[in-house]
Amino acid sequence: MQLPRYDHYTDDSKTVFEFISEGPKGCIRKLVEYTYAGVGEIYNLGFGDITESNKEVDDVIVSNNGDMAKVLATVAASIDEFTENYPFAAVFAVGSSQSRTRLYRIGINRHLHEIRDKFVIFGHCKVNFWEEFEKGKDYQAFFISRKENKQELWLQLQVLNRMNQTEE
Amino acid sequence: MIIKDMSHLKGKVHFPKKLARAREILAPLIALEKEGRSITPPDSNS
Repeated sequence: MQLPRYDHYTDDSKTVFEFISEGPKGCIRKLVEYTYAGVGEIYNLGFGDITESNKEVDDVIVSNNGDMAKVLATVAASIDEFTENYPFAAVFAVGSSQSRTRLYRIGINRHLHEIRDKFVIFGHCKVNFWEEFEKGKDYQAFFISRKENKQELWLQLQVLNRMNQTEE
Repeated sequence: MIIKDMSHLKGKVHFPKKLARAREILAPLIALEKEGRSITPPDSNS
C-alpha cells in the first residue's frame, strides 16, 4: 500500500530531504534531516518547518495544515530512501514534544504491518528500557532500521539496557 | 526522489535539541565506543 505523500527533494548526500506541505494554512516548507549521532551506525531523525527567513528550522511549531497523514507518509518515505543509501543505518526518532512523539507512535501503530515488511522498530519505554515495538504500548523514542539489521541493532540495545540497569 | 542543490542547508545541524536528546539516551553506548570497546556483545555460542 502506498499512502499519499508529497514530492520531495534531496541532495547527493541523501541525508536531507525537503518538501512542501499544502493546506488551509498555505504552503509550508518542511525539512527532514538525518544527523550522525556519534556512535555505531546511528543517525538522528530531525523534522520541522523551514521558517520564512529560510535560515531557521522550527521543530516545535504546530502547522495545523490539515495534512498530517500525508506529511508523516512523506517522512516515512524519506526513511526508506535514506536507508536505501545507508543500509546499515539505525534511525533514532523522538518527537519535539510528548504530543508529537504520540503522533509518531499512532502513525507507527496504524501502519505497523506494512512497516514490518521492510523494517524493524524498537521502542524506548518510560522505564528506560528498549524492546521491539509492540502495538498499543507507550514509547518515548524509537529506533527504525532495515530488518536485515535487526539482530545487530537488538544486540546493541541489549547492551544499552544492561548498562541502564547497572546505573539504576 | 528528486536531487537538487541543497548546499544552503549544509554545515549546520538543524535539530540540535533532538540530537542532544538522542545522545543523552545513547550516552552509555557512546562512552563504550570512546573507550574503544565493542558495542556488540560477544556471541555466547562462539
